[in-house]
Amino acid sequence: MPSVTEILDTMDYGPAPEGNAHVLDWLKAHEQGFGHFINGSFTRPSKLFDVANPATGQTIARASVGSTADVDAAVKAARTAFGPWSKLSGHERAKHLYAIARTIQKRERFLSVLETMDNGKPIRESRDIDIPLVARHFYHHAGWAELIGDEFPGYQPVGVCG
Amino acid sequence: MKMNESAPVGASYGFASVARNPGAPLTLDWFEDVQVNLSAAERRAASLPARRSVKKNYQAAWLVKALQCIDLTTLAGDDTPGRVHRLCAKARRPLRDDIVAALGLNDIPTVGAVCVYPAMVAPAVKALEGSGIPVASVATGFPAGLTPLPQRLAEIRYAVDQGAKEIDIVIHRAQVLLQDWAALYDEVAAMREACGGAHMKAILATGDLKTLRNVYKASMVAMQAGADFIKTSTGKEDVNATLPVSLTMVRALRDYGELTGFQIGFKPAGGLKTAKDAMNWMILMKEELGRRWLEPDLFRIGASSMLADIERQLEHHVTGRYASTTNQPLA
Repeated sequence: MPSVTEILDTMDYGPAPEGNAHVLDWLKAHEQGFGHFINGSFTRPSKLFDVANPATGQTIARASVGSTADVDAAVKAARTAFGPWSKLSGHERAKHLYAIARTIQKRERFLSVLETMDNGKPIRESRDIDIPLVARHFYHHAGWAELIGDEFPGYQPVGVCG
Repeated sequence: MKMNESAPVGASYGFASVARNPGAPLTLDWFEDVQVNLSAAERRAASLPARRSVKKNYQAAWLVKALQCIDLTTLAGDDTPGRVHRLCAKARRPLRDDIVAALGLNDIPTVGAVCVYPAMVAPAVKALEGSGIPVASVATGFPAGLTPLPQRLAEIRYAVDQGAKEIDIVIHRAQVLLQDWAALYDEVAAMREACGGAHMKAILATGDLKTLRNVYKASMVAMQAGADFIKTSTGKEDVNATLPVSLTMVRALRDYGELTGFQIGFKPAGGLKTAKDAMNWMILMKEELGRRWLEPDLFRIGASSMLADIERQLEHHVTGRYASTTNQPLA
């Protein structure tokens, strides 16, 4: 690292890398691999493939290849949930979407760093644009859900889509 | 002189000295039809602090540079020669010796200037004798600027006579609000003439000007009239230096440079209290104008309590701890 005297001359910004210790710790805690989140819980990891950081080529995690059985289970769980979900008022649905938005915001920094490590895009894109936009989307649709009765009268839920 | 050129890495920062702005005839079409997009200016201003992160040795160096650009100021009704004397002692030795040594600096850095009211120029000059630090004086009926013109010009001559090397004048805001550019130009040009060899900073009092368009226009007229620096505020307005206003002014400054080839200095004043504020304004300068505008002959910060925060951050850099604020008294 250059000395203070040298930097007084060049006035370079210098490198200021985003800290990723928290994400590395989390990835280490999941080094046995990630399963699929189906019906409220994670499946056991199996048929694992390497997930690499495109910027460095290093493997950062292992994820499971989804099987036909996984897809069937997911669709079945969605169909089961469809009934109760359809009965929820707009307000109740809004609460769910809003809660997701809040949780994303709470973990915004973590998710941005993880997204950059997984995707390879610069941290500025993830941190300043993409992840805040994810939260923004959920807030937006929570807003519409709240107004569903007034704005979309007579609309009926269609079913499970994929 | 080309604008927006950063010095090559490793180049000595003994830059070529700034050629003095001779001014230009009042030229309305340099500014009359300007439009400033307020939302875009606010967005650009908001993104500047967020995009750049300056850490560790880089942050320490930037803070030392900020310190060297401060116009250490006291403009209070209860100023006394004693207070001015203490301020000047601080100006000469703004950092403790152990911090200077720990930063690896050969010499103790000094501030850019000391800024006072005309009646306090003589005590300041006396207290700074031999230090090389210039005394800047406010003048022309600071802060409101609404005394008769002959008296305002006499005030400049008095301050210069007393030893001020720099004069911070205030413009007559009504002239901007009424779009009377000829009157504004003539007054500022007369002030420049009264300054003689002393450098003139034109305070636009942007908080009074209300629109960014007015800020741009007033900047241009002041530069055409011969200002060496343009300055945001007196520090006494409701709203003083903000990043959007500063962005507008440096764009005007940049445009003037492209039209004439002359480099004008910029000084934000009022409301800059923390080391982070200093960093944000320096990022603005570097992003908009380039490396050359990170030197005290083209960039000053009008501040007083900021010095204590810079000291505090530098002490943290060398020791790893934050000292109590009593450790950084302003003299």
